[in-house]
Amino acid sequence: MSKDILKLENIKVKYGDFVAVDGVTMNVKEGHMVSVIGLNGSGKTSLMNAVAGLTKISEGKVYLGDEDVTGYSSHKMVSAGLSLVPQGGHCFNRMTVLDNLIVGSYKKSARADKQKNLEKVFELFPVLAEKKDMAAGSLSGGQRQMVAIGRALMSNPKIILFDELSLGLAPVVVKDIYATIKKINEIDNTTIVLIEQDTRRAIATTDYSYIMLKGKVLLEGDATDLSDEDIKKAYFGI
Amino acid sequence: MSKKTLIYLVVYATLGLFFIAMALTGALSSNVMRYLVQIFLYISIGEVWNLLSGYAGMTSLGQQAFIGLAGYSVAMATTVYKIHFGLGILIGVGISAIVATVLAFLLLRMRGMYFSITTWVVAEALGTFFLSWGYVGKGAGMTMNITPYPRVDALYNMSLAICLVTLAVVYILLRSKIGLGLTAMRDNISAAASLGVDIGRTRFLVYLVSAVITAVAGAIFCINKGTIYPDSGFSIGWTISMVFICIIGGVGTIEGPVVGAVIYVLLQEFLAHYPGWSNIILGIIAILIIIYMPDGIVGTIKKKWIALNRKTEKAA
Amino acid sequence: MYIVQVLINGILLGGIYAVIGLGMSLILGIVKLTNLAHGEYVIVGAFASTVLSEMLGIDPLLTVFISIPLMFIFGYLLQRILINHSMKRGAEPALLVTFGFSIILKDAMLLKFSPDARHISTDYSNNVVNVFGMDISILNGLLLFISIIVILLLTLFLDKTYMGKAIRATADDAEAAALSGINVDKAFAVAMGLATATAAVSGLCVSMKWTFYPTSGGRYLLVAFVVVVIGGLGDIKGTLVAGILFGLMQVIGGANYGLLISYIFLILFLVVQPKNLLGRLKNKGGARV
Repeated sequence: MSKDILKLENIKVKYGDFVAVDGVTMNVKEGHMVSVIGLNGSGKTSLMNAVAGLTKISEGKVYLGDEDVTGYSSHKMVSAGLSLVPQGGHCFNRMTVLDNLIVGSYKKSARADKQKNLEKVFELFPVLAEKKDMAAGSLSGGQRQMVAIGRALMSNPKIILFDELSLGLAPVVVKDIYATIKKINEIDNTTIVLIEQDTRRAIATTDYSYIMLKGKVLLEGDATDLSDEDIKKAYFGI
Repeated sequence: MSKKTLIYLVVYATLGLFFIAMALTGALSSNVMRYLVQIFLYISIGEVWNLLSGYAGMTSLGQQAFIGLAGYSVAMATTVYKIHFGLGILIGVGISAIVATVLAFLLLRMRGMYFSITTWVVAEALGTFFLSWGYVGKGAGMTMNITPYPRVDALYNMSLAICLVTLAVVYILLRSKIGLGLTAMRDNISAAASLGVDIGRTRFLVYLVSAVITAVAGAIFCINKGTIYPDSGFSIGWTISMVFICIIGGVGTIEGPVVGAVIYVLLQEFLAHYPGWSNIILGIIAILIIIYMPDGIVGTIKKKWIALNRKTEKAA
Repeated sequence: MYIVQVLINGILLGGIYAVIGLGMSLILGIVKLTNLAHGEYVIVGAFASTVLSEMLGIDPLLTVFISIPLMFIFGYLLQRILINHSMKRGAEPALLVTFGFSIILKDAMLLKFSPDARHISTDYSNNVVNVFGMDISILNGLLLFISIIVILLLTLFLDKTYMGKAIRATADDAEAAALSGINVDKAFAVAMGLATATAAVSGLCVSMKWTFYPTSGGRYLLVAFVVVVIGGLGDIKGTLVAGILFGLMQVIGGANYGLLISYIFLILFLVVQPKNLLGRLKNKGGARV
């Protein structure tokens, strides 16, 4: 019986008067792959940004394993073991690919593993090894996404959140990256949370799904339990 | 006319008539008038700096350029050309307007810190230039050779006039189409542009208006002092006063600079007892206000008022 | 020959100007803050060296070993305690806070030290060495040497250390840096500390080469600004080139017009839109700030 690695209890995120996330509860089990899906504006990105410490959580609690990490800033979350790969990848364009990855092992506990993790990343993404001395800004969209993922891996995370991985990428690239993420999950037992608009692929790849609309979780369940009909209803709010 | 406009009009007219009446009846002592002269003039330069920085987003650190130019114009007019100081003021305004227009070509392409530093550089350059310009007496400066020299009540009338005019101009500008554009620019410049606000023209107009008003007020300041030197006319101290006034009063409000000017003049009086410390104290207060009370006194009161109203609305 | 001598001595001074610009470039490029007090920091450094060398009776060159760490801490604390907060209020409030700070520092120095001119002269201040028939100032050479060391050390730090890479990452994308585990507030504070530390070195050079007053800050702010605008933000090599260019301008313009030439050059550069010109310089290799 695997334990909960990430617990969200009734999370509310408000921007001024606007309620972006309206009472979300989630329990993510260690080693699982979980997806959070919904339309633009459903609150999934706001939720993940708040969990990762980029924005403030107005109400509710976040637990990473047994640790209460509510209100932790981003860098503290990384230290605690949670890493977010934001929408669009986001690399340090003026730095080399290698430096981008090294920055990923900035947190004190990950520095000793720098070499080991670099090798792991280069094995998962061989193209990065080829281009390691090139400026990250000169890489293609898919390659930059790989750099961002690699960077997250360098911090020895217990759980990685991926915000709209497939955005702006060609389908064949998306397929490869998804396969690699599955590999990461299998090899290291790293918990994966995918935030996606592409329902079909996300649900097919993951063990458990949450469908959000207007800041709330409308539907959740194992991939096998969710019927297409139910998903469509929740996704569009019909 | 909306209720708000009516209130402003009533307050403005009342206070305006009050101060005019006070002068006419001779009820004010020279001492009080001296303070009021300073207050009225600081309100003027504060209001237009506010317009520039708080509304149009152009933080000028070089308004003293116009004060120096206007002051020297009056000095030259009265000393060398022996003409009436009123004409001297007009000449000063004219020169400032021309300089502002020329500068606008340069400045209006710049944003943020480039704009700010360039305005400062221009003022410094002017100061340096006047320091070595024989025509204006170089470092020795010039005096205002006005006979008979205006007494404090004449100065009072002049400064009250420019203050009332400034407040009216600022208010009307902000209520006009230009003003709406400004407020839009203050909140979100790209949205404003996409809505058809002519950013360039608006910024130019605001820059020109502020230059002209600063010039008039600056000229009266210099007449009040009686002399002008390169490092008094073009001193960064003017900017310090404008920044302080607007920050403590509240950037982005009309009432802000009024409150700020009063506080500034009183504070200067107090700080005169501690020579050398005045800028330090002003600086510390300004920094604390920026960090802890960024909306200034008026801004903070306004926000609390709105929040209070909202609470009573919700309760109702 | 005499002209070449003057020019070479001018180029040697380029190092000083480059370091002055470097301090501003660090803060502008990394923290995205315009530090209007940078000129005053340089003068603080100049006074620090003056006071320390008098108090301890040591050669002024040695004072940097004390003034650098002291000013690093000063800059670090200032950023951490004051400026980070004002930046949360916006770019303009932060600018005004640095403006307020420059005024406070200037007047504080006026109070503490009289408005008199200051200068540190040493036995070797005016010595020259004869190279190929030209008299080259030893002091200029020494100061250039120090400037280059500072630039090298800074480059190494930014290139090789974790904190250095963290600072560069923060400059590129502060949000992504935070998500990578970097404490952005701390990175900013270290960057500020480094910038202030370079001001300590600049201050030493200023105090040994020229006379300065508590009010000289403005002139060095201008130097910093010109060097940054010409040399390009975030390019250490560009800053060095710009510094040398500035040195040449000063030497050609002489005492009276040197400043004026700088003003004009600056304004020309701003009109011609520096960003486009400097795109070329940026593509040269080397440490990025």
